[in-house]
Amino acid sequence: MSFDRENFFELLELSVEPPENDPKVIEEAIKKKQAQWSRFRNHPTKGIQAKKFIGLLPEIRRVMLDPELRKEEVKDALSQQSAKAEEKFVSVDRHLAIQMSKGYITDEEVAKLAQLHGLPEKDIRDRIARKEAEKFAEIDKQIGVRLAKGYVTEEEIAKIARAHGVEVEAVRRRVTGPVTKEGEAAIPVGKGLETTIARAIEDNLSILGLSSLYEFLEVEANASLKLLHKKAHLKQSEISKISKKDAAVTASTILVGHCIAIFKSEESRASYDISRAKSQLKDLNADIDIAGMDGKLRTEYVTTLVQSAAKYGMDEEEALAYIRRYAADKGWTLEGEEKKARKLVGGRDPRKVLIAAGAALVLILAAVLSFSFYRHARSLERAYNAAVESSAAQKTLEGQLKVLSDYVKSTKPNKHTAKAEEAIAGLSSRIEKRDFDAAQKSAGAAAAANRFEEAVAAFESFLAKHPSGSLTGRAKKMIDTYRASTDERDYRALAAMGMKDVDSRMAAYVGYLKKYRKGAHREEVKKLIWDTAEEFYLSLKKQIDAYAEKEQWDKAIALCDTYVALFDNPRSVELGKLSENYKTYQKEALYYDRLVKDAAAKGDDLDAAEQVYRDFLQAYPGTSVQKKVEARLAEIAARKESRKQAGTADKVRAEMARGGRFSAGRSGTVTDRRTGLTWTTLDSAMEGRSCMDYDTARKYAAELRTGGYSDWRLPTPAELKAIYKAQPAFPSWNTDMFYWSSKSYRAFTDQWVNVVEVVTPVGSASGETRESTRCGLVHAVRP
Amino acid sequence: MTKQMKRIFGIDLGTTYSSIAYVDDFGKAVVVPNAENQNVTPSVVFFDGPNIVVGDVAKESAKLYPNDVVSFVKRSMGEPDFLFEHDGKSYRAEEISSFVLRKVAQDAEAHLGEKVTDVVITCPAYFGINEREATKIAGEIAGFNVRQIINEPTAAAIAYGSTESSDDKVVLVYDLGGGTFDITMIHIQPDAIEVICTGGDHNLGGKDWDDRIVANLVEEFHAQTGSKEDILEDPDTCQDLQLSAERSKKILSQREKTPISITHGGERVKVELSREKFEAITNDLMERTIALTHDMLSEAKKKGYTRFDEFILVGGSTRMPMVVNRIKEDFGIEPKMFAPEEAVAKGAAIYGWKLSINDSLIERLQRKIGKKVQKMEDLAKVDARHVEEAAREVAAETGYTLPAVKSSMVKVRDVASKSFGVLATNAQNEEVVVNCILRNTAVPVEVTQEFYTAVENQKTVLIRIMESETSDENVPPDHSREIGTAVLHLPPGLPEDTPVIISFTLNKEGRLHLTAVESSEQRKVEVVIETLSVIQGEELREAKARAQNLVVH
Repeated sequence: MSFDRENFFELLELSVEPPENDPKVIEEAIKKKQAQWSRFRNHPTKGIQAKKFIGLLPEIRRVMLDPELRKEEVKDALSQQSAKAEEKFVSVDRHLAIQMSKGYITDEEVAKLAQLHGLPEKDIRDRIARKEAEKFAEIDKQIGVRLAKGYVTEEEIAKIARAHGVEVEAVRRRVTGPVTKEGEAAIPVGKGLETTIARAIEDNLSILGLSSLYEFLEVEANASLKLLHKKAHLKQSEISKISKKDAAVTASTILVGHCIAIFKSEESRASYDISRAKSQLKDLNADIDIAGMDGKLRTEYVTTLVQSAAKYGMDEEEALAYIRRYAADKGWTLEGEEKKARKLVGGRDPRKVLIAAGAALVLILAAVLSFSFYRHARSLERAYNAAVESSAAQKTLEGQLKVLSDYVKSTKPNKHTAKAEEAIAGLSSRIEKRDFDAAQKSAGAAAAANRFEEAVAAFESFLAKHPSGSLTGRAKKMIDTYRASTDERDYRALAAMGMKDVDSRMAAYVGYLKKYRKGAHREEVKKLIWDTAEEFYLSLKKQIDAYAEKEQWDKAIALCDTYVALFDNPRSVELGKLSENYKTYQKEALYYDRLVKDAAAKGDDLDAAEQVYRDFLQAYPGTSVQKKVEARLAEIAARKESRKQAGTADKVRAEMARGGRFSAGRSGTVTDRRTGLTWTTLDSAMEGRSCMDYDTARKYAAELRTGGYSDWRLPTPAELKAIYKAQPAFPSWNTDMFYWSSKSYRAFTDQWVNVVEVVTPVGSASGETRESTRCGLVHAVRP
Repeated sequence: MTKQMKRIFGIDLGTTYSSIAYVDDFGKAVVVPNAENQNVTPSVVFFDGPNIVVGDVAKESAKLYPNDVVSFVKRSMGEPDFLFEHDGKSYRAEEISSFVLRKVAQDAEAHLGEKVTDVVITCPAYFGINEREATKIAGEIAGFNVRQIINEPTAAAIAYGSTESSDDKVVLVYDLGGGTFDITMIHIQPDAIEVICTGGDHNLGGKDWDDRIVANLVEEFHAQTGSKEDILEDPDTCQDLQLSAERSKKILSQREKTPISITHGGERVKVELSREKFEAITNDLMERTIALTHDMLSEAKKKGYTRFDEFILVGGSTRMPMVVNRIKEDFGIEPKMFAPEEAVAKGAAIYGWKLSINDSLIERLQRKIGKKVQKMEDLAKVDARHVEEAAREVAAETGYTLPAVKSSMVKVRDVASKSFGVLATNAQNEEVVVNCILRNTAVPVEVTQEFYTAVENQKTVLIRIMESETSDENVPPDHSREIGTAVLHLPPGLPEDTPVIISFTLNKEGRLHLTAVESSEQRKVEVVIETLSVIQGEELREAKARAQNLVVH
């Protein structure tokens, strides 16, 4: 996997091998980088890059703190470190280059190349197209190189055309600068851009991964000034529309500014083209800089430089001219020229000398390539014999093979090569045969023990070692055979599972299907699965219900989804719906949790907490958590109640503590100094009992053992009135409740009923009665 | 100053320099000098051990302690991942800005002998929701009651409108500051100051001109010494060059050339920078301001404004001769330089003064007519006699002239600097941003638009609120920025295509509110946009607590 961005391990400077996996270390590294980038945010030249990295931070966190994504990132880092994917095509390219050097390539040749490399013809054609594109890119580059001096001559154009086997006109069309004839009066040579500007453009282009302003504006390098101008303004309004001002947009904004400024006139545009050409020669210039460190260029350096100039498509003459101009700009002298300059009086052009030097070098190189065969014929024979001897002396076949291959690799092809290659082929096939036999032996043993996987592995490792030998086909066949045996064995095991529980059977069936994507028994196993569908459903449903009961929605959902993934029948529809419901419940459970947290956050403010729940019920009626919410509400109500009670009890105690009318008696009792009666401190409601009818009230009083007394009774109406109505009265919070008295009678309203005299702490002072079936409180008294 | 009027200060919180102003007893806006007796204070913060130093001293310290000094934080306002680390503590742009605010306010307090409590702070018109919120929070961390955030060009126009004759005219305010560029068209009328259109780039300012000089100095150093070292890697050199660059830029506004010396690693290189060269290496930056100006003008044309009367230059960077020259060349009008460094703070102060006079006017009027007057806009409905009378009373009581008091009734109308909309799916089933409030519409504004549910029985609608730069009604999602979300819960059983009505309200301060109503049962959700890129919650509380214990020097 490869990403279109910096690798995060590299960006954070974390170890890739072994990969850094400690989240703490990673978080530390991120923090460190964040601080560093923030500091660079307004750096004069690195600001935009820092902004880009800052913008990447959320992504960095997301990827680097997730184990799975991080693994991908490691892979990417490794693959970036060893980018060798293109290697395969190297030899194809070389052959293509040879075929195409004549300027064209025939269909027949394409077909032959395809056959030779075992590739489809299309791949070869794609390659050719790429070569063509590269050729024109190369032509552009060479034009650029020559344009660096400010203009291009007709001769140079012709030369480039010749070198690439294209029409002169095709080259001329691609020239963006002035064209002149050699020797013509020097036209005003354009100067490049200010280096500061050129650098700013280059830096911002590199942020976008582009190489030129033309590419930035998406036009050809030879587009008209008018088009460029228009494109620049279009780009400007396009970019200003983007709201996310990330580094890329910022870089684009800056580049648009440059485009507008540069593509205003032909003159400034030519300056840009020249700067661009110059920057292509950056490496060469750096080389020249090194060579000229002491203020002059030695002859031997010049020859080396001429060689490196060849990489840019310059011939010796051009290279020399370029180097000389460069040196002159820097105020350096060329050593060779200095001396020869004196001889110039004799009419010799110093340039010729240098050209001669360059040419001689080229000649020597050519000689090395083409004549070595003859020169070393004898020594070749000796080398071959030595290789054969040394090979024979090796103990292992591999050793022998290596010696011979090394020989072939290290020597140029000669008449002995074929012999050596023949020997190599012989050795290879012996090795292959030996390995095959070994594989067969160990596979046979494994298969006998029913361990077919090992047998397959034996041949697979054979194949890994000999991917395209003469025995490959047989090995593959063996693998197929053993795979089939494994399939058969596993299927039998499945069929024999009849008695096992349905879950493990289903797991085994599914496992089989997964393992044998082309298994021989897939249809049978599928049928087994279908046959087991209902049984599996019943088993699952039971478990699902159990989880649902416990509100473990995620587990329930997982089980539903398991079934749905396997089947498409009414049951799967049913479970699918169930799963949906559970997902809703799960979400609602989450809401509920949050609700409880919100309510808890209200702390002691029970009214606010209650409001939180009420708001929820109003906003989401009929959810699965309704009951729970209602329970919470009831709980809050109870807490409010008990808080009220606690308040009253406090009041009672405060009253007693004041030492007025009421004084504390034995624990839980209070004595009324005015009447001498002993009362329970808390009435039945404050004790936590709900209200009760008259019969229950009497029983409650009789069974009270508060303070160790057993003679509690219901008070008379007069006694009740005496504590609740005569000031200072006994504190009470039950403003809407009444207390049962001991006095009752029967009365007729529409039927005969028991009527009891009662006292309500607030309200009228006399004559209150209630039917005995009503619900009232008890405040017991003794004796 | 009378008792019942609260003094509201205006603060120009700039990228490179900040300043504070107030309206004196004669109704005139005055910039208050800082402790160093300068009208502007560098927006630079120096963490000197436990002390926090702001201003010139901090800026000069940058050379010696480059790692303890932070500047240009305004460019990172609203950037969630910008963190300045010092001594194990991280500071957000808001908090660092609050130190600058405290410094200018503190110095003003010392100078005037009066507490600064209420402030109006300015920000570039081009700031979006997040950046504005961040600016307000910076003020709150500094402990102020931030009465309003107003746009810098609007402030400049207020200052300009209050000094010039109050004819009806259309002006362009070209505001090139230390870090931001704003271009705004403003219609100044006798009774109103109205922003027509605004544009700009909040990453384009004097600093970019400085940076070019820095880059050029590096090239020169390389050329003269033959070294290829990136001398900016050295924080001392980097800071030193930045300071020299700013200084040379200022000199080049007066002279044709300036000598600069570069010292690095024991080597000393002398460079002469000419104005011509300076202009050559910054030409593209200048071009960008011109291109943005043209963009804004064509926007204004759509609103029927096809001419302007004056071209006003605000912001220190407009002192560069190339600005005046280039504008003359392109627009054929002689631009007017108007108190480049002070106009914004003064305008903010005048605006604050209007707010407080308005407060007392409204209070009086309420007493007179016996009913509530919410804002100045409501004055139109009140009997003119009452207004006149109230103004007379306020004038008598405060000592300001009657025209001055009346001028406080001038209305200030601004426009939205961004478009706001929601992410929706169009008929082709592609995601698209539907803009409800278009850029450059007058604020406050409320816009209501109908959307439809996508499927039958849809339970929720996720409303994703997007900000974008164009005034187009439909914008592709990757051209806009998500600034908040809201969830609307729908009752069950709604058919497909049930209308959902979304209303956007953008108030005067550029704050966005959103209401969504599902039409069948009138269910609604109301949200204040949570600005994600701004310091908030626990972090904000911590910053505020920290601010109370800090002394700024």
